[in-house]
Amino acid sequence: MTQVVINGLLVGASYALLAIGYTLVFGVMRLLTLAHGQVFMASGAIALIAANAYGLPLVVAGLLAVTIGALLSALTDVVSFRPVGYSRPIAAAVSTIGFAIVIERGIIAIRGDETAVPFLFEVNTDFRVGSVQVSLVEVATFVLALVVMVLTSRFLQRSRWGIAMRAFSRDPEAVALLGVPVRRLAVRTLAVAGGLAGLSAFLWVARNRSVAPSDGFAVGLIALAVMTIGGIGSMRGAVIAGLTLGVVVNVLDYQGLRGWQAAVPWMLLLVVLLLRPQGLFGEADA
Amino acid sequence: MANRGWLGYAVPHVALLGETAMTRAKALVLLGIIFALIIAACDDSGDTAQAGDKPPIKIGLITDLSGRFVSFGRDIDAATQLAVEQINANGGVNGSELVIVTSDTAGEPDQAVVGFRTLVNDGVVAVSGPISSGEAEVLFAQAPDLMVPIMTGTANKEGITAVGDGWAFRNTATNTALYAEGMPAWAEEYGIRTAVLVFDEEEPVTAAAARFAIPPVAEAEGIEIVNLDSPVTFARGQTNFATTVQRIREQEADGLIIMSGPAEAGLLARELSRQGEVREILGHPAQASDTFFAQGGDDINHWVLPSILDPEPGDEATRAFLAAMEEVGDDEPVPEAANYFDNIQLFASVMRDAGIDGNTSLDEARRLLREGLLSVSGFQGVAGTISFDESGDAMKTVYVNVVIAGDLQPLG
Amino acid sequence: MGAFATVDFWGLLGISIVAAIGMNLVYITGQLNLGQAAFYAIGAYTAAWIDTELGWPLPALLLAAAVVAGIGAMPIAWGASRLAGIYLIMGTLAAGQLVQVAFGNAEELGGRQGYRIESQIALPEVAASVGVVLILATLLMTSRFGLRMRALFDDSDAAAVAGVAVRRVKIFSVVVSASVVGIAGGMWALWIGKIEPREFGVFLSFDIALYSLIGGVHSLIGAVAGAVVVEVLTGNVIRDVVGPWAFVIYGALVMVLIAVLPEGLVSRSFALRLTAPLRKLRRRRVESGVLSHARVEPAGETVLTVRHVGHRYDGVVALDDVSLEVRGGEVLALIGANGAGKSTLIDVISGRVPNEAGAVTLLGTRIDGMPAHRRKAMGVGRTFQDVRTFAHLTVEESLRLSAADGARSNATVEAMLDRVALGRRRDDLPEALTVAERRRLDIARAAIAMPSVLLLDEPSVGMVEQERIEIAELIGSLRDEGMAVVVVDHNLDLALGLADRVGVLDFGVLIALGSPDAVLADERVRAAYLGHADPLDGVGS
Repeated sequence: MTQVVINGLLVGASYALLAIGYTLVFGVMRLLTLAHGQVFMASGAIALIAANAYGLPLVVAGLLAVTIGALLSALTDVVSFRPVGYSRPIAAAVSTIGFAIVIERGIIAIRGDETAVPFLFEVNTDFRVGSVQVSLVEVATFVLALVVMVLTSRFLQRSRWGIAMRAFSRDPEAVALLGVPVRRLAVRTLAVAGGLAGLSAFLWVARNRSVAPSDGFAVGLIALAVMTIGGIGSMRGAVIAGLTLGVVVNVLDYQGLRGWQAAVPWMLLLVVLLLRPQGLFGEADA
Repeated sequence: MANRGWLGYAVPHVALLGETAMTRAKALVLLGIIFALIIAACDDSGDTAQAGDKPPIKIGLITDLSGRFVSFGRDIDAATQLAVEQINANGGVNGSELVIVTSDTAGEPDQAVVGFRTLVNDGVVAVSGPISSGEAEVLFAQAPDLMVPIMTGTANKEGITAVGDGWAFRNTATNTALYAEGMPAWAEEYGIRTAVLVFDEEEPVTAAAARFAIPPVAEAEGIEIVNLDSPVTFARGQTNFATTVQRIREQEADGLIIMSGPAEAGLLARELSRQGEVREILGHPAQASDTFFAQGGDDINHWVLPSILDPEPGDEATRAFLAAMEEVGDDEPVPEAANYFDNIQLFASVMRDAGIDGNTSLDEARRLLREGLLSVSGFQGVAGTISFDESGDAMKTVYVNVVIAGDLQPLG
Repeated sequence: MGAFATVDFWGLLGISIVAAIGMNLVYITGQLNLGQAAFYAIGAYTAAWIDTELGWPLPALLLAAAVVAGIGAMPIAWGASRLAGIYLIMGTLAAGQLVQVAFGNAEELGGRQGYRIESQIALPEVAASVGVVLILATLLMTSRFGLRMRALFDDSDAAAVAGVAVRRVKIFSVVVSASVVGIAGGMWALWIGKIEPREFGVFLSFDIALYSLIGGVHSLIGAVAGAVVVEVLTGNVIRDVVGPWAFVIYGALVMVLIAVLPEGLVSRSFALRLTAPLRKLRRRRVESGVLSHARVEPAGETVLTVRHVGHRYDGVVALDDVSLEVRGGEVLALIGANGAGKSTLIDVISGRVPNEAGAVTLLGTRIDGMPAHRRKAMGVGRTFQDVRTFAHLTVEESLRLSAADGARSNATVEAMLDRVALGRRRDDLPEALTVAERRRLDIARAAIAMPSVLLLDEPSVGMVEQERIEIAELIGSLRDEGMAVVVVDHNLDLALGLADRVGVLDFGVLIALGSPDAVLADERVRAAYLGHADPLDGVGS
């Protein structure tokens, strides 16, 4: 059982990292990107396709994933948010559905089929603590989630750029009038979120040994639920909700209730929405 | 305040009002151009006029050219084209060329249905396909209404031909037939008395085998499935198998029976090895594709997979077929591609005997083909001899193979 | 063209059109439901199960699909009516996912292996179903109830003030939309012959939402257009031609269309132009009637009483112990600096914000605590400071929405159109009106139900002198018919010129109330205005 709970925490860390990306974008721009899961998937997939084709070293593949994640995510602003306009949040969210389709189907078209891209590096980072087996990759994901949570919260609270970002979320026009380059702010925020998605995608493939085009929504939607459960705009909420969800899902699987585990994030989400719409750790009208 | 609309939508749609007639006109023109291009492209894909004296005979192929089973679909497509080339090189069928019209299902039953009807509408005499039992079930049920013979070379689920009323055929072994051979051979080789059942509950191709074929065969063969009441299941697309393997580890048994698609099988093998869980494994023919070998690496050694094709064929025709396939593709084909090669050869043979050519009326040709197929006996294909039982299932020879160093070899 | 001539192309298109109409019926109330696949699935399984187990005829199957999907939608509708924006999107997404999981686990319905259906639906039956759904939806959308649904798309606050029971209408629209989408699901099950839970995933919900978003939500023509575009771009034909890049093109086009055509292919004004001949044909010559005076009290009677009312925004006092009375046939002008609490007082009386202390009484009945639409029915009419016209309702529709129920409402609308000189503008959308015309429409909407008390928030902002005079005449004539009118206006000329009495608010406190001359002479009023603007600055400007 300990092992199952640990498995859950380690899987949950991936959800949390992705949810932090969603919440960062939403917290700053008040816009929802439904293509974030695809950014995650594509950065892992493209890095692996390139690594498998050209025999790139592991580290290069990792850097590639981060770069692709940041670029694709920043592209969301160029192709979806900007053309639609920051003042049309619903239309902007719908436009990112189009972007998600383009990314996912683009990967499938380039690759020629929908099957998972395999991770062909032979790395074994496993170690045991007592009876519990974990891999260094998983531990890295977990630590990264915590570090990112602390850093982004601090960054948003303290740094000049962070303060501008928070102000942007409240009144983009006023921030623009104050001379803050709104567009650069938006692009940078998305790039940071995307870079994180790329990094977590790389850790994901290193642990799970593959990434499939359908993982974009499969993982992305769960992370979206995690963000909302934790509270939109709350880094702490994203991490706590992500870890909790990882554990609950794995325990259900272990208990032979696998058929219902897909319902867990959505059930939790509905309960939270009806009882505490701002999420567990969100501020009202954040 | 500007964002209040998002949460409370006080003023959400104000910005919707900026559009002009010009942008609408431009968008409509753009859409118009795209639609015109689609229609133009459709015209190109229409029938090409035939130079020969007799019109061609159309045969439909329904397979997965996209989606999860695309590696099967590509080999099946190549085998089908190969059969047609050989037949046409030898003068076609009673002087008419064979033409293949292909429809991609993308692994979705609804697209298979639409594709089937489109092919029938297009004037095919018979249809070869589809790949999965889920698709086959619904197409076979519609074949009597459409009055078109249809023959799968891959769908293994029991009973799917029963709804076909003599129009639906299966040129491959049922799951029961596969495991009636495969399970005892596996058990004997590795001394298996007990086994854990593990399967992908969302994969229709293999879930049927796990639910309906494995338990009765195991009982008949005296192999105890220790977790029959609570099988270890997972979902297709799953990539992290840590907890799945955790559940497997807690079951005391000699062997593992894993029913899933190729990618999941490979990843599960990886996780079993990662957790140091070494067991003898019985898999499903649907796993034997490139994806499985790429994903599984060294960890799939000793997987036992029943098959309808002898990996080291003694038969000359079979060897020629495999050689020709390796020329077309870069890899060894999936074994079932041979069934689809045989499907076309079988159609052609029956049509020759029944005197069908391009001038035979469609209804007549379909009816004659069906009657001919029902009475086929001992047809020599590259994947063994073919005879159909009363429900339309072929009784095929089953071979039991084992993965050795990324290659399928006969067990034992 | 051959591929478009297949029965399947037209059949599936028909089914998509039904689903698109269903989507329009809910998005028209501003609720972007991203869980419609749930109702599609419920409809499909209902039709399939009843067909197999009970063997009902086709119309009964589809009716059952509609009813069960509608019932299934009720809890979701209730939940959705409490949510907005991203929370609504997340909530409906969650509901859709849960229903999919539930069907996957329903072993009696085939579980994940799916469920096979024997009966089939033929193309003429699909066409007939599309026809029936289209006619019923048209009747609903052109009815008074449909008008209430449509008003919610633009502005639920203003709709409530116009008498729309916002939550009830929202719940109804989710349910009726689910029924229609359920019919589409039932048709699809019968068309294909096999259903599997995984077909009813988030992509199906996205496609259904995109029918409305691409085609246009403000008309059923838009729904049809959206279904055609999505169906062609994602259908078998384009995939056979373009191959795996077909969906990439689809996704890219979604982005382009959403950005370039915010209202979709068929915008409201485009639809109005398309249907103009129809409207002309249908419009009966309605005798210009007389506005009903049923509610108006004899002049001089106290109509509205405000007692010790208080309100705070985030701890800042907006109103503090305000008491006043308004009598029938008088104009009370409220003046005060920005943020003095004038608009808040109107909000409290009309029910937009709750009062935290005190009581509001209309003709002897306590109305504080009632929702805005009930107060409207009781006889409270109001306008907003920022003109809150319904962007997608024509002038005539706006008035019809606000008119009191009853057989004479057509005549009432005609009378009001004449009175505010908007007769020629009846089929125009607010964006085509001048500022003054929009104000007149605003006041006409507030006054058409002949409220006992009419609350006007800044009726003359942004107008030139001549237009102001016209507005003043309009307000004066409403007063002369016996309405109690409360006016807040920055233009003191207008306010004082009309007012029988003047109230002065300062930091939420009513510091003076009386005749214009007496109030302007009041020392406290002058003191309060020091440091702000002189109260007389506006006079004569």
